[in-house]
Amino acid sequence: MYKIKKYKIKNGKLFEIKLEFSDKINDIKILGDFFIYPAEGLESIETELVNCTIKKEDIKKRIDECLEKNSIELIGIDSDSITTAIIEMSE
Amino acid sequence: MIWRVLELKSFSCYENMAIDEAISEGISNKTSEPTIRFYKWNPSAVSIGRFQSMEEEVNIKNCDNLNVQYLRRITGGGAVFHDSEGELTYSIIGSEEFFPKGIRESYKEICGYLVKGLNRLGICASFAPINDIVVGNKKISGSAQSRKNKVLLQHGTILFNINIKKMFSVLNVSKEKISDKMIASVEERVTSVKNQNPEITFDSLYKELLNSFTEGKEVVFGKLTENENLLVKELIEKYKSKEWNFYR
Repeated sequence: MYKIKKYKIKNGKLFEIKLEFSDKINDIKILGDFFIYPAEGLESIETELVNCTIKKEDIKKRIDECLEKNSIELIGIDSDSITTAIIEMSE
Repeated sequence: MIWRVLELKSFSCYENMAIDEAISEGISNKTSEPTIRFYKWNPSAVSIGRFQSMEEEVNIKNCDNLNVQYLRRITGGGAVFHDSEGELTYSIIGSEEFFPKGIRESYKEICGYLVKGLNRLGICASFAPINDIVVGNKKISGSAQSRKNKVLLQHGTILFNINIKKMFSVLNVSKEKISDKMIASVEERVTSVKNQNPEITFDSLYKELLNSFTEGKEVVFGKLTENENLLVKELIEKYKSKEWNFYR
């Protein structure tokens, strides 16, 4: 299944997720007016999420581990918001 | 430490973004000096944030019809319409060690120069985290920052005289959203130097901001180096390319 949805974070930025999924994430693109340091970190997060099962704790763990491993800083978006968005889109 | 200041000039969007990136690379390679520059965009252009989609953010057909160029920046943030006569853009580029380590703190420090300059012109501007400057609750300036190879690049726009109808004909919003109601609502959220005080000229805005960015710093007015000019030529091709502009 393929879905696109926009989210606005309270006191944060606007982001959009393009999600292709079955019982797991087949492909994901995260777009928006947020900031990520270093910029290449966004592709790392997207790559890390491919093949992840659609479970809140699994998704958040993968994102948080990727942030830590690659010293990525998110501004205006966070792992909780991305996780919640993916779960909502899969329901 | 000596800061190089580049003369205010108008360039195409491709040249403007290539210059910022070439200076960043030069500083990273220790062949360029930390730099402050103010510039304009000619022809007018739309720049989108690093993580946005060109097709979703920009009305490409209207841009082509109105001779408005479009490109993707290397910095995050949102889509900006750079009106050739309606805004002033700045860049400040230097080694990360010259700025606060925290990204939010460095936004605050650099945006502080803009706030100071606008305040001196009698505009009651204040910093609105993460990256905006507002007058009351209306946005007058937005900035975006990249950090790569220990170099900080921050650039941003100061709205001098906005043309909201043109802005919304090149930014991709639905027909429903461009109704009079929407334009009224944008006017309630965005302001410009001219809206605040019609007496302020573009030249006085530039001089005041140049002053607030450079005071307390040792500065030399300079030009791009040969190495930078060579790199600018290469980078222009990147900024013109579909591969870069449409990659997300």
